[in-house]
Amino acid sequence: MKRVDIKSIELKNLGFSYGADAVLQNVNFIPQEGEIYFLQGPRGSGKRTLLKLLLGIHAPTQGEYLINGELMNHLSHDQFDRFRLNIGYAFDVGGLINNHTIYENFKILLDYHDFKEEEHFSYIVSLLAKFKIDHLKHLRPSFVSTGVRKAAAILRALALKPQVLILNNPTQGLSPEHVPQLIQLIEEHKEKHNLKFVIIASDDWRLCNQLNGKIHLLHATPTEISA
Amino acid sequence: MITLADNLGKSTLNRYRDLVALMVFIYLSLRSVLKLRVRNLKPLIYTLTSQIYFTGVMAIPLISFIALATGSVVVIQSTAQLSLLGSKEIMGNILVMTIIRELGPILTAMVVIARSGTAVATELGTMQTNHEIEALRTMSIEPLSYVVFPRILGGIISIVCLAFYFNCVALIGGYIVANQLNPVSVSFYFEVLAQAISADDFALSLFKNAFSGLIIFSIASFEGFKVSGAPHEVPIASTKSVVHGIMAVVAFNLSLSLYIYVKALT
Repeated sequence: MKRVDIKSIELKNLGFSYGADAVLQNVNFIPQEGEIYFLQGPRGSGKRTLLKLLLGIHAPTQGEYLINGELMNHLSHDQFDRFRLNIGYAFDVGGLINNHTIYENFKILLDYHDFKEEEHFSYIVSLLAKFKIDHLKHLRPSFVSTGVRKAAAILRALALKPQVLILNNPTQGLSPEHVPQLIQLIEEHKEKHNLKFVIIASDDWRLCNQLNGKIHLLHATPTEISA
Repeated sequence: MITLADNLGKSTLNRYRDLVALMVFIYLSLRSVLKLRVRNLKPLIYTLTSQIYFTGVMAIPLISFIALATGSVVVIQSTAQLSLLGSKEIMGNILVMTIIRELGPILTAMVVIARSGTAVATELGTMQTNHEIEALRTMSIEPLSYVVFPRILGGIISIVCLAFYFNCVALIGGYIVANQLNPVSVSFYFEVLAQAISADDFALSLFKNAFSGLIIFSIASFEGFKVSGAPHEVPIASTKSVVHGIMAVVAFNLSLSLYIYVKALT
């Protein structure tokens, strides 16, 4: 499947509800190319939901989600694939396939989407080498430390050299020695691999300062305040 | 009384909804694979072969034991009883009826439910709680094509092969064991067996097993997929997959046997 070049992302008056419970209301967010955004807000303010909306896992229940000016609201999961293949995402906890080795967790992505070129496979190894976890690539996630699992999940998000990178609490559980490498990797992808938009849900002020990030605050919805 | 009727009605409606949802689940799994291009099927082969290895190959010792025990009992009982009646010639028909048509499919299905149905429901349930299914979606990998379909197909292939193996072990091994207690000549045994077996018996066995495989692995995958994220739901899903799997397989085998019996009478 051919990936769509992502030039702009716009969220206008975006809202999302789980049944009657509104999680997000009137979110306006237009990230600028080249900037790094930190989504912050109190617990339950809908940070994770917003990330899933950006990934096309959920569809907004109000407002507009536009990529390149095209409305995403009503696209099916399959129709969103051509955009999603240019979006890398790492979970805050979990997300690696446990019955696959670390390397297979990357390889499945290439095999399924038919990225056959050797450069993609060697790039994965080079990513793992940058975090000094390449010697663990043939182990399954349950046989490595939490820090290695977290690093592998973040690196997998970068495996296809996406134009949009979305990270949920990247430093939570990540070994402290990997944080400078993460910063370096994001900068490197911005410069060399056409990474245009970086959106991070995190309250880590140090990381935010080191990446020169812009803060986008999310507020708790009236439902949560009353609860 | 009204509450009882109300509960009964609700329970029936829920079961009906679950059945419709299961059918949609099977349809979507098949559709998700049909949408893939041939070259994208490569990652599915890994899951398919793993499933065949776990469900088929690793179940051989248990199936061998059960088939040998069942075959021995059926051969001993039928030869003993029919010798008393002086009609040993119909032994072949009894063996074909009981082992190939009835016991083979149902006992193989029970072993597969106990070993693999629970394993699939638990594995998929755990994958849900670990966000693995969601992770596949974030990578634009359709879990129904990558996780569910190869398990259903692998399960069907395994159960068909296992049932064939069950029949062979039950009929040949059963004879060897039974012959120690109640000697019957080899030529007579295999002659009556050859006369009794027809292509219809194999076709029926194949159909019963293939459909049982579809039922078992669809239910197990469906129950595993229904886990919404809490770890305590995983054993519940596993139990449900066993209970629903046994009920569905027994009901299907019974209905088909009754239909064939009634059809043969008319």
